[in-house]
Formats: sequence, structure tokens, C-alpha cells
Amino acid sequence: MIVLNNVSKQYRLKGKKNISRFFIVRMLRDALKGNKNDKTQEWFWALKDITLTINKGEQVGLVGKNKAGKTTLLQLISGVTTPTEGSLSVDGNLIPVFAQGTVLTPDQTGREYIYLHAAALGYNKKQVDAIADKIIAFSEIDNIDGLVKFYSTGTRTRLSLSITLHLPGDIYIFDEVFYGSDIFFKEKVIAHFKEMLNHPDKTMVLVSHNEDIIRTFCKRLILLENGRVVADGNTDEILAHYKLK
Amino acid sequence: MIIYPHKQSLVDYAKDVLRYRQLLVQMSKKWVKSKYEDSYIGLGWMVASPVITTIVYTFFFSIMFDIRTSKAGYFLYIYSGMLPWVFFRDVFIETLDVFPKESLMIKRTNFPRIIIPLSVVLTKMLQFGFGVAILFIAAVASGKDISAHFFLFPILMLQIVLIALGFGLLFVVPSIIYRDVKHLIKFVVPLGLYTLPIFYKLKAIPAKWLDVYTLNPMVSFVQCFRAILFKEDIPWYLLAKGMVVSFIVFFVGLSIFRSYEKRLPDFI
Repeated sequence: MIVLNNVSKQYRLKGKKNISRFFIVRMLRDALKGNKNDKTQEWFWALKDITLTINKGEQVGLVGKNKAGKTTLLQLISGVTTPTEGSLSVDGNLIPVFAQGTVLTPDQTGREYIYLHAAALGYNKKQVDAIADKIIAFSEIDNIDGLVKFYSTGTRTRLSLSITLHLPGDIYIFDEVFYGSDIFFKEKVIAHFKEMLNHPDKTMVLVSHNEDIIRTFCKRLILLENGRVVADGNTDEILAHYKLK
Repeated sequence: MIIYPHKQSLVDYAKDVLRYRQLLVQMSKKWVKSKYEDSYIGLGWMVASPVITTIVYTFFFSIMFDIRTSKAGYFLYIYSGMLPWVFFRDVFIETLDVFPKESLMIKRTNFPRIIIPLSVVLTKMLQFGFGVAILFIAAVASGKDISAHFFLFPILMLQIVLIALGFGLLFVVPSIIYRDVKHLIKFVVPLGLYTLPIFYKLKAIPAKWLDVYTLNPMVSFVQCFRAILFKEDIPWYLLAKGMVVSFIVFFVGLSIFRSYEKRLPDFI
């Protein structure tokens, strides 16, 4: 279950730095007082007053134009970053998959990368040993012992998607997961998704600009605009509303 | 489970870090492999690098200061100071460098970020271990007896890790937010070599400045390390003073790092 209460997220505008005051003293003071942001810099709100609940077993889509705040919302749910205001709680083992095509770190072989990526999500070697062969078979990568930095974008997508789809989780966060992948692999992943989501306890939050993907997986859709939720409800209704905009 | 706002105790934080030990191992392996894999000497560079630097310093300073001890003795003296210094310098500076390099991991997965500098520490400990092994072999070969206080070595290791990691954690967030900090540190830190009793002896420091001078925890490390190696009396007071300062530096650094840790993706 995912619960957000009045969640807002503020970012610093790039290039607007003020180093006129002694930064260590300021950081110490802010750390002690719990101040969130330095008032001497310029900031903007990426998300503002988001209140929503995603129940266990729900498959929810997020739509909105670029810079609507979709990825920021997923980052907050994933615990990658924290809200500037508000509170959130996520109950369950969460597996995030952000903007595919680029892997977390490309300096090792595909086989080594499987262990590193899974370790970054909190899985130990024994757990990965049990599924490593399945991951490699699913990815259909011939040179799994070749260096990831020499893989094509599509192959990198195959690798990281294969890893995350085989890790046992309760909540899956997908942000534009099919970037760079061919139609055959896409169909294979969709079939895997469907099988996975047959389990009533699996929750999914998906960001996609592909209408078919959204219609296939999401019964509920949330429309974001300028960092705020402007519509939340049935997928068909929200899509119709979104297209009119 | 992710809850925010969430106050995590130090014990729970340590448990969380322990849960991600597999990542620590994987990242350390990655650093070693990416740094040495494509070279002919490979891991040999871990040893060769400080040895070559020490040989250069030995010749330079023995000529410049007309050192009366043998070249081999002076080499051992400098090398026993250079090893911990190189460890400290590398951990400190690479801790600042490594976060921007791992920006994708930081922006896409949720793990205790301290794993990243800890992987640097683990890699550099391997290098330090090789160096110490060479040093002990060289010391024994040149007829020196190793002190019975060898059991202090793990305590000294803890001290140097706390100092190096502590300084790294203290400056990593400022260096990410203000890039100038990193450039400044990279310029200033190498000068620190000359503030330690590596090329000269502690007694060269005027007595009235000694209390202030020994506040530098690296001074304590170098003196204790040499005392073990060259079978001298252990400077217990210096060791205790160095440990206290090291713990203070580490916990201040850790507190600042932890208060900004979850917001690092916002700055990188």
C-alpha cells in the first residue's frame, strides 16, 4: 500500500548558487535545525500537495505532459529522494525501474551486472544465484560475459528489465520501461507482466506515453499537471480527459 | 518499507548498511577491476605506486637534508609514513569524486549511500594491506624486530578509516553542491603530506606547538605505526588523543552526511 499526504517536492534551479556565506556553518546549522532548503537560492516546486492512496494489488498509471512531475513522484515513492513537505509511507518490497536504455553502471560484464543491480535493490548473492540463469535466458543476450558498456541501448534495456522482472517484489515501479526495446521483446515482457500481475497482491505504478500499454495494464489513471493531481479515476475517462487538453 | 518523515537510529542505520553488504562487495570488485584490469602489471600497481613515490622522496630528501642514516633505513622510515598518508589522501579525495560517477545508481535505487565511500575504503584497504605486507617483509629483511604490540594494528586501522572516511563524509555534500570545494580540496590535501612527521621526526616540532600539532589524528597514526614497526615505545597518550579526534571527525561527518543523504539525487 502506498499513501501520500500533502506531499510536495522542491528543487533548486541550476546555476543559482550562493556561496557568499560559510557553507559548512550553514550546513551544520541546517542539519541541526532540520531546515529543508537554503533560502538564499532559487527553487521551484516539481510536485505540490499530492494526496493519494494506492491500495495493495492495484495497477495504476500516471500520465501527464513532460515536466508534469511523473518521474519525481515515482522517485519519492521509491525512496530515492524525500519530500520537501508532507508525509508518505510505502508498505512492501519495492522494485523500481527508471528510464530504461541506460544501466546503473556499465563497467562490468552482463553477468556481473546482474549481481550488482540486484544488490543495489537489497538482494543477496544466494537469492540472485537462484534466478541468474532465468534472467540470462529471458534477456536472450548472447554475450552475457561481454562488457555492458559495449551493449546497445536495446540490449541494456533487455538486461535491466530482465533483472527487475525476476526479482521477487510486492510493488513494481515502471518509468518508460520499453525505451529502445524491439517489438518481440516488448511482447515477451507484456506477457510476463500479465502473468505477474495475476497475483492479487502485486501492485504496479506505471508511467508511459503509450496508450496501449496504459489500457492493457491500468484500471486506474492519475493525471498530473504542473506538479499537481488534476484527475484521478477510471482509465478510459481520464485518457479521454487528457486527450482533450 | 519506506516511511517519511522517518528518524532512523544509528543502530538501525548500521543494520541497513549491513543488509546491503553484497552491494559493498560488488562495488569494491568493480573499482579494482575497472582500475587495474587493462594494465599489464594489474594489481602490481597497488604496490608499485607508493614504492616508486617513496624511492623518489628518499633520494630527494636524503640529498637535500644530508641524512646520516642508511638509504634503506631512511626508505623504510619514509615508506612507513607514506603508506598511511596515501591511504588517507586516496579515501578522502576519491570519496568526493565517486558520487558524481555513480549518479545513475543514486538517482534510481534506494540504498544507504554510505555504501559508496565504504567501497572506496575497502578497495584502498586492499592496497594498504599489500603495502604493509611489503613494509613488514622489508623491515624484517633489514634486521628490524617487530614490536610485541602488533595486536594494536587493527585499532590503528580503525583509526585511519575513521579519519579518512570522516573527512570524506564531512566534505562530500559541500563538494557536490559547490563544485569549487572539490577543486580546492584536491589542491590543499596533497600539501597535508608536509604537515606530518613523514620526512622529519616529531622532535623537530617546537615543544610549545606539540599539543596543537598532535591534534592531527594522522600524526598519532604515523607515530604509533612506526612504534610497532621499529619496536619503539608506544605513545599511548598520542594514540588515545588520535582516537578521540578520529571519532569526533567521523561522527560529525556522518551526521552531516546522513542529514543530506536522501537528498543527494537533488544535487547531483
